[in-house]
Amino acid sequence: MGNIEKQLELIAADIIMVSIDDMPGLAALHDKFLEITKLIGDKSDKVFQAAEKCSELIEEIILNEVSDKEKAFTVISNSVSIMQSIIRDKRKPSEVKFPMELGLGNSETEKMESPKNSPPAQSKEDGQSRLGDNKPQNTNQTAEVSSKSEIPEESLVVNLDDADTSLLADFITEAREHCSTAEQMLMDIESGEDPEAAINSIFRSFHTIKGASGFLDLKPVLVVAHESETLLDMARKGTIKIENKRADIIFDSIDIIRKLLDNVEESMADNGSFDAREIIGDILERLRAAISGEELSTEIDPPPPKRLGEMLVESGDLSKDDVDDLLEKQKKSNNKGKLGEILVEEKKVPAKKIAKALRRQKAVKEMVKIDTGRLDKLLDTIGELVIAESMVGQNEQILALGSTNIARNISHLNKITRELQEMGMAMRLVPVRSTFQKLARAVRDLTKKSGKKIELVLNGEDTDVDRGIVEHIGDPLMHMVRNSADHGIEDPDERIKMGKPPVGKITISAYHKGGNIYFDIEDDGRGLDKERILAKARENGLIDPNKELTDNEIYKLILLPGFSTAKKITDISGRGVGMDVVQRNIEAMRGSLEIESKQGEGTKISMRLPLTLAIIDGMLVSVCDEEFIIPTLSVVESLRMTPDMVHSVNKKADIINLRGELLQLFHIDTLFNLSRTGNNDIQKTVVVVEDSQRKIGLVVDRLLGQRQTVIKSLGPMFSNLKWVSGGAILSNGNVGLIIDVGGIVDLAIRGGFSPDYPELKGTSNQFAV
Amino acid sequence: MANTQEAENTIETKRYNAQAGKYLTFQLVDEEYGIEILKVKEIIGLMDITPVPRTPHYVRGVINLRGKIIPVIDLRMKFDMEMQENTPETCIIVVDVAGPKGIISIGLLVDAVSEVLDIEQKEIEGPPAFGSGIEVDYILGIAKVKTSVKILLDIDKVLDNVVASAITDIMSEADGEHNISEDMAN
Repeated sequence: MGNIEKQLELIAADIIMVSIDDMPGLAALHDKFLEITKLIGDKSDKVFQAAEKCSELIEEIILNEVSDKEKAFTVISNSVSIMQSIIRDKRKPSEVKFPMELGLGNSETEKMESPKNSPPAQSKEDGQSRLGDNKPQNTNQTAEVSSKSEIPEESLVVNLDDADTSLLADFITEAREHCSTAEQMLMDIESGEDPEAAINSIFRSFHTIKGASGFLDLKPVLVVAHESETLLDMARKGTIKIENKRADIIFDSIDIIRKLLDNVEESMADNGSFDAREIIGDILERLRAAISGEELSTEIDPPPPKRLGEMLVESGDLSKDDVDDLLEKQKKSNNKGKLGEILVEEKKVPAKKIAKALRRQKAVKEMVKIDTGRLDKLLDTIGELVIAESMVGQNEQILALGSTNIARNISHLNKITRELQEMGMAMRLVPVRSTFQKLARAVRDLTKKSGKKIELVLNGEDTDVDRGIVEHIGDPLMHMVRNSADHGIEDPDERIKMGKPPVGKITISAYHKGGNIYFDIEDDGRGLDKERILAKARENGLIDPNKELTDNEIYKLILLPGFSTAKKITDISGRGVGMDVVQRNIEAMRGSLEIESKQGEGTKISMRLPLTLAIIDGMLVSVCDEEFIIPTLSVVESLRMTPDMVHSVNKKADIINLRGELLQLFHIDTLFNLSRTGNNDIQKTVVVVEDSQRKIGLVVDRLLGQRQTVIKSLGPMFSNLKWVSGGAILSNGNVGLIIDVGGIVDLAIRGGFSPDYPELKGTSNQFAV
Repeated sequence: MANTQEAENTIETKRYNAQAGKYLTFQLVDEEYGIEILKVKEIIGLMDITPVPRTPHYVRGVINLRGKIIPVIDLRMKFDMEMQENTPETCIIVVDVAGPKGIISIGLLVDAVSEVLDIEQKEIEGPPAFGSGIEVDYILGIAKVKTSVKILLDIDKVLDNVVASAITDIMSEADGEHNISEDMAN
């Protein structure tokens, strides 16, 4: 039975997504129905018959044999609900009625009423908190099952019983931002701005909302976003223009998404549920009409229906009270909404308003978004305060006073300053854990939805990442993980055929390396199909048909806007946004993407991000009179240098024998052309550093200790200097340069120094050990 | 008559781009220079400058300006004047110049800051036709104030190559060896 149920769920999901003209989608749906008949195998079974009829109906739709396709489609969608109620909820076939069009011989037939306006996947009574009930029943609802029926899977009643509130809260904040962006862009279009860029931006906003709401099982948001996206996709392709009417519709859908979000937020506190039908109203029909290019009605749209809460507050008259009463009693019977119970028992309707406000407060922690620029400024100021404080604290004249009072005050000041500094640091840095958790959740939901088996391995969840990066890394990571799960990992059967374990594996790692932060997304799926990418790129005119490309260049083609080889558009991914968004987000952070792939074996995407403002552990070293910071992560070890350790080669280069491993030595003073003023006879230290398997020894004067420092950019002027990754403010207020180990290894081995070490010719005597 | 004079002035202004207004004047060796006051963000006393190795000799290094790291350019070296020991008068003028990615702050190391002068249009003249070897490009004009002469600098032009193309690693260039010896001579 389990398989049938799963199959039905897939169908239910498909019905929402598939449009009447989507032939491949319909064909897939057709196959799924046949699959069900195979699974059941018993021809006398009601569900078997229904599935068979449905598949026949789809065939007729595909072959254009039905006059009213919409109607036929509605029949199918209703039948699925009923099949589900039989299979999942163990209802007796005799209790339910299939739509008469299926011709299954129901004794009481029901009239089909203009199904055209019926949103697909019409919900049934949920019996528990059908909040929309105080509104006259929609006349165009078809095939209502008996009033006590359960909630079908694709119901528009949102139930937040077991929802993850922190994820929801994040989603709400994020989606609201997307709504605002989309709104702004729409207004830009109307004010005559370049529509192309704006449409792309709005499209992406809806795309993101769609994706996220899909994972969170917020069907109403999903369907509205999906339809809007389809409309915008057409605009993107230039099939239609976004002008007054269509813009209005999109504005309306933004508003509706916002309202849905408000409701979700409200319902979150008490794990409640709400009915989205009223909110959604006829927007889906209007969107579809706009998509299919039908005459747009010139009627003034009815005012958006009010939320229940508002209605209750507004009403206050007896008749409505009765309704409230009823609803609350329903709640009571489920041991829910205790506060509401009491309020209703006391008939204090206005108090509901307070309760609602309270709930809202509980649900989402008030967050303030701060411009990172301001945050940086605050941190800079705190840094200055720390330095100023230590200057006062260590001022000899003040210390000479010997006043215990002043000493106490200074230590108090010191404590406050440290606290402030810690707070400041905490504000900037966050572990990637929360971002990773979202991914884990997404993969879990994806596996559920697609029937694939995927194991997600997360490495480096505690890697501290600059907040600015975390804010921007979420979307790209999500896109890539979705791509891996949706397009990369094969179905279990296919995997077994290929000799792979049936469970696919996606590995996401975060780590610091060579002064950068890396995020790797690796899957053991089917890998990128070079031929298909090439074909598609040629077809779209993205590349010169005769040009030969390297593998790497081919893979990079998927980063171009509007590029998608996905054969099927799903609500998971595959509209050709995705990778270009990823690319743009990463470029905005001045990072880069590397793609490695082997067909049949998997894909690895590596994101490299600079750590502009990230804190790193550094080793403070002194050379001549200068201080430098070497990132501890790149330091293998450090050792005192004794003359007998060092062997010169041709008097041009120095090497040491480190436990059998030969390492070339480079003197930082030579590399940096520093002039030595004092004694040259000090015992130096070798710091062994490693970058991408290249190991060298850097010779410095002294190690001054470990420091945790915030990297500050040296600004655009020094962007050409590869050996320095930034500067750090040292405890004396001066700037210390942070050495980029990769850069300095390059410099030492290749750059600036020709093979015969010309720089040593004139100066080698100076550095003789 | 007045009109003609005005017209003449416009021509001159266009040619040398020097506008009447307030200029911050400062000294380099024994010469007096001026930069438009609007470009000046602040004047700070000499502080410890962290040298940035492998950069051109006129790049003195970087300083921490209240938590922000800004580069310091030695104007004397930029103009190929002789090196001079720092004095108590030596200070850094922080200017804002337009870079390819927005405004950037740069510190200019000068011998001494003199005063803020209100320079009238009639006091400004174009630079005389110097022989080759003097870059007139940087110079907006020359102001005759009383008996002295102030060289009005186009600071954006002065820092143009520094800002626009960024500082290159001098030792990585093909003639790196040559530069090193030159630097050492300095």
